[in-house]
Amino acid sequence: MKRLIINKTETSPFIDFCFESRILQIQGQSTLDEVIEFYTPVIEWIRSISQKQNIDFTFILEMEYFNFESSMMLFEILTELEKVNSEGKNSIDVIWNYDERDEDMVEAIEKYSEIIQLPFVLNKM
Amino acid sequence: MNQEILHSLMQLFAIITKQDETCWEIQDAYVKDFLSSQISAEKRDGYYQEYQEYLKKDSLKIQWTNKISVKDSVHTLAICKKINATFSLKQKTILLVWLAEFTFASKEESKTRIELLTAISNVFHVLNDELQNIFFFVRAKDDDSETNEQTLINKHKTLIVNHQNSAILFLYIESINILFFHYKKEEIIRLNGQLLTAKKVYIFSEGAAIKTIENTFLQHDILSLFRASIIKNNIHFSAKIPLYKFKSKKVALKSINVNENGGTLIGIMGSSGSGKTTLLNVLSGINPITKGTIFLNGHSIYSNESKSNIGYISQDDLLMEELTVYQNLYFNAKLVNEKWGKEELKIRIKKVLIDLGLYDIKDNTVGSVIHNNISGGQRKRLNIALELLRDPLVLFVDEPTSGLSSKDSENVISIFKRLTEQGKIVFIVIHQPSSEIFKHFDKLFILDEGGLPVYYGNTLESIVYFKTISNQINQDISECPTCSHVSPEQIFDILEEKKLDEFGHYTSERKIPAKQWHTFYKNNYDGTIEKNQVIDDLNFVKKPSLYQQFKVFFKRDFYSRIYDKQYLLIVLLEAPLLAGFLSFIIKSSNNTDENNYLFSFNKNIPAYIFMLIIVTLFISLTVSAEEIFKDRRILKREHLLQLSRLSYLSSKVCYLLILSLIQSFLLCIIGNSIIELAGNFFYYWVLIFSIFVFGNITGLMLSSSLKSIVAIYIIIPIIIIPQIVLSGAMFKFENLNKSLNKGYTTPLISNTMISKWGFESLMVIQFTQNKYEKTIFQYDQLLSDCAYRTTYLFPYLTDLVQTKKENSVCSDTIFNTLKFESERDFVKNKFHFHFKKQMTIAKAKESIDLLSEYYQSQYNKISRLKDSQLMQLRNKLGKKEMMQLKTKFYNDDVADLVQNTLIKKKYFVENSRVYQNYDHIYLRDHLAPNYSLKGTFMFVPNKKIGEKIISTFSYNLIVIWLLNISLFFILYFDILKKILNIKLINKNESIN
Repeated sequence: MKRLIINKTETSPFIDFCFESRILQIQGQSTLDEVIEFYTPVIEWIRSISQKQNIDFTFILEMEYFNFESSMMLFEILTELEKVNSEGKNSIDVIWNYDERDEDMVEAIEKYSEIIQLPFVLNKM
Repeated sequence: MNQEILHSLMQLFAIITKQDETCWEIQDAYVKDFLSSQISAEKRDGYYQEYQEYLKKDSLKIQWTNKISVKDSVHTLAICKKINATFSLKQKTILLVWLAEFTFASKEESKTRIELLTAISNVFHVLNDELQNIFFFVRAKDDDSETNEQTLINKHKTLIVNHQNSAILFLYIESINILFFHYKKEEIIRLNGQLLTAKKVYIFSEGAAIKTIENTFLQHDILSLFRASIIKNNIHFSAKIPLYKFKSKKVALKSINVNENGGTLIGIMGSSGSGKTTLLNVLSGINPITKGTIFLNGHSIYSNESKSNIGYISQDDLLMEELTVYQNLYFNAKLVNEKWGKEELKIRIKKVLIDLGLYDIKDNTVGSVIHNNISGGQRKRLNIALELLRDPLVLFVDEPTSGLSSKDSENVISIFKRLTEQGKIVFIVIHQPSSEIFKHFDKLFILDEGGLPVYYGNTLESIVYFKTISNQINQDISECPTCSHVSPEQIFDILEEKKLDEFGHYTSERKIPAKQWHTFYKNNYDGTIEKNQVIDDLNFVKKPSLYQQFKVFFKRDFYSRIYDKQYLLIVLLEAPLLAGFLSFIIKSSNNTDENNYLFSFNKNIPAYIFMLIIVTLFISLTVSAEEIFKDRRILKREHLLQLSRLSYLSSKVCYLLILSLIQSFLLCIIGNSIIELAGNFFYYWVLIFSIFVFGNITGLMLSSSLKSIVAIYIIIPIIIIPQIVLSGAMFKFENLNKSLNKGYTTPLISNTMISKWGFESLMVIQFTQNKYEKTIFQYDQLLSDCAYRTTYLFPYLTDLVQTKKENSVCSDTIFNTLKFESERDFVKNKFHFHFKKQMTIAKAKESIDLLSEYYQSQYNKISRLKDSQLMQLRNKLGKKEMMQLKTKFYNDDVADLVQNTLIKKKYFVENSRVYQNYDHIYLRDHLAPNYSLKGTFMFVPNKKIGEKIISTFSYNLIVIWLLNISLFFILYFDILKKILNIKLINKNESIN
């Protein structure tokens, strides 16, 4: 699977999905409007994981801010990851890095964990 | 509004409020107001507290940024996802309108709040266009600028209706088909009786009416205005019938005037016997009118274009019980339009299934009404679906809710409502609707006794109308304000209110008779509505070809039978079981060696052959007797749709032909095998099959002409007994009542009995074509020829001659007979007799002697030839084999019967001719004059058509098939039914 790297911009986060290293990263802030355009390749990449077998991925999230539209996309991404996990062929561990001073983020992560059936590992920075 | 949603709503309100620091009090007030209009007092506070708590939660930490915090984003997302899971699009859109009202409650608009609102609408999957319309609508609430707009629908799907000093602004949301409205200036406005407040958004629900001091606005009308700009399809239906009478001359309908545009649901109501169904039948064109006109989009209702676009749904159950829901639709669909290919059919059927909520049960067998596989409501919806497949522009429905639960009834009516929302017109005869259903109707057409219309107009207005006329109180509240319950019974209570006598008791006389109501109606109704400006031309739908219809009918029948295991078993086993039973019982031979069964000596064979035919008639009649009868309701509909009767009948006949092929095969093979009737199987099969066909078509005729199943089964013995009695098998023709039978030949009446033709064929075949007789038949034939003449004919003639003087003229008898004899092929070339009319006795005597001697010598010669033939055969096969040949194939009793060996009178004289009265099986020439009018002899081996001689079997087969084909024509033209109807037409009149 081809490595997916998208450089960070003012409105979009840094994305690095690397099959060899088994590490998937999303980091930065997401305030763009055309979220669907931006995140579709990301979701596609995750979907194509189901073609593989017996791989253990690690998904690392580190967001400073994301707007509402992006939160919808993050929800979609997390749902896809949940699907991959429940399929049983591969496994994903989600690590969410956060700044402990950012209470909003903490609460947001908590809220996500309520609606996604995937265990997060919260990692204070 | 359930708890969950209220909780979510409070949270959403809070989040929205929190996005901006301004106007919290206004938002506050809105929440309070909102709660007070939605929930009872006790619970209000609870939710309000909740709202406050959410607000306070982190109010200390809030930084007023222009961005929605991640926490709020995710929180909102979570709430919206939950709402998505439980709310329909309709409910979510309504929720959005409230949220919008909430958000714009303060005049100062907050960007972040609006951003959040937009985000929420995205999660709800509400279209952005509609969201913008909602924004426009809600903003306009507080826009105090004067509006001079006329009633125009602008691009935001809003409409201002101006009147006097204020204006009502309506918003239409197309995807969920809901109207909202608000108004700015305070005034007295009521919505269905309830007093409203200005600057508040209300939902304008179905059947509702807004009343100001001067005006009334009806939901239907406003909706039509919006929909008119959307639907491309424009229909107009009009009917003008001054008078319509039944066949019995009784008046059925009077002064009917109907005018409707597309998008209207009309309820036809009235007391029992007032003529509702008659009106429906007349408007739909089923019962043609003599006076008056009915038009659909300018075409007469009786034209093919109209018929292609009109649908009629009767109360009858038109389902095929053995087929699945999908199959019922499939076969129906295949008969609608010749242009619909496989894919299109699939799509159309799927659409109808989904629209009517039948998709989940599409593979369920329908079952009968008693042992059903699908519920009553589903049954009804399926019946409706059959007609909806045709996509009619105008639909006429007869009491669709009778027998259904209230929920099912509402489902059904909302199906029709949806149709009208797509621009169709639907007329529904409805009896005692619930108030919910009542409100669905846009218009009512009410009939009173004698077919007199007494009301035609808006639904809710009707109650006001009747109350006004009967001077009752409360005339301007038509809907109960607290529970919006409209009672349609009020109309009939008023209509039929009885007079009170001096003691205050109700009499049986009505306060206001029907005629008077009708007069009021005529005075109030001017009969005009705004006609659609643009009317589409009607499509003429061409039905599939006769052959395609045939295929559909055949397949449909075939599938419905395949699934009925009980039927299949009986129908396939019937013939072989009876054959086996019959053969077994009569398998006994009258020979010296008691233990051995020899076919030759079985005395029952002629009776066996006869029984084969009778069994055939019974089976074939009973199998087909119900065929058309059970389809009669479906046929009625298919006749309306102008489907081909020929195709239908052909498919039935084809099915029965195939079945008969199988049954006749089984019958013959089992019967003949057990009784050891060897050889000639093909002859048996063909003949029995032909008689099966006769029985089948006769059965179909009965099935099609008689009105009750009992009548059909009672007539069957009346058909079969004559076949038994007059076949010539049970009772010989010479022993029948002399009035039937003038001579020794087949009586005319027997020639109409197929059993006679069949019996004769089989007996002739059995004798002449069996393996043993075949080898010597020619000889036997000649021998019989000679023997008759030498033993009986010439001695008799000699007797006659001897009593006369030598030179006297011969009697006619002698002359005719001798002339005939002299022209026979057998002697024609040997003796060249030329007899003249005035022949002398002497000449006669001479000729007789010559002939007699000749025949005698021929007899001897042929006898020797026959013996040598038999000897050759014996040598070839061996003595034992030879014996077996005879005992296996030749039956003595058959021989006796066809040779008529037991008869005493070996000849008879008639019309001055001598006729041979036995050994007809060996007859080589047809006698002159032809007996064809009075009958021929039974069991002759050959018969004549014109100049050609063909075997009896072929001749009889032709007769049988000619009979079958004529019966089919009688069936096709329904002649029997017409004959029966002529006699009964005075008694039966169509009251409906």
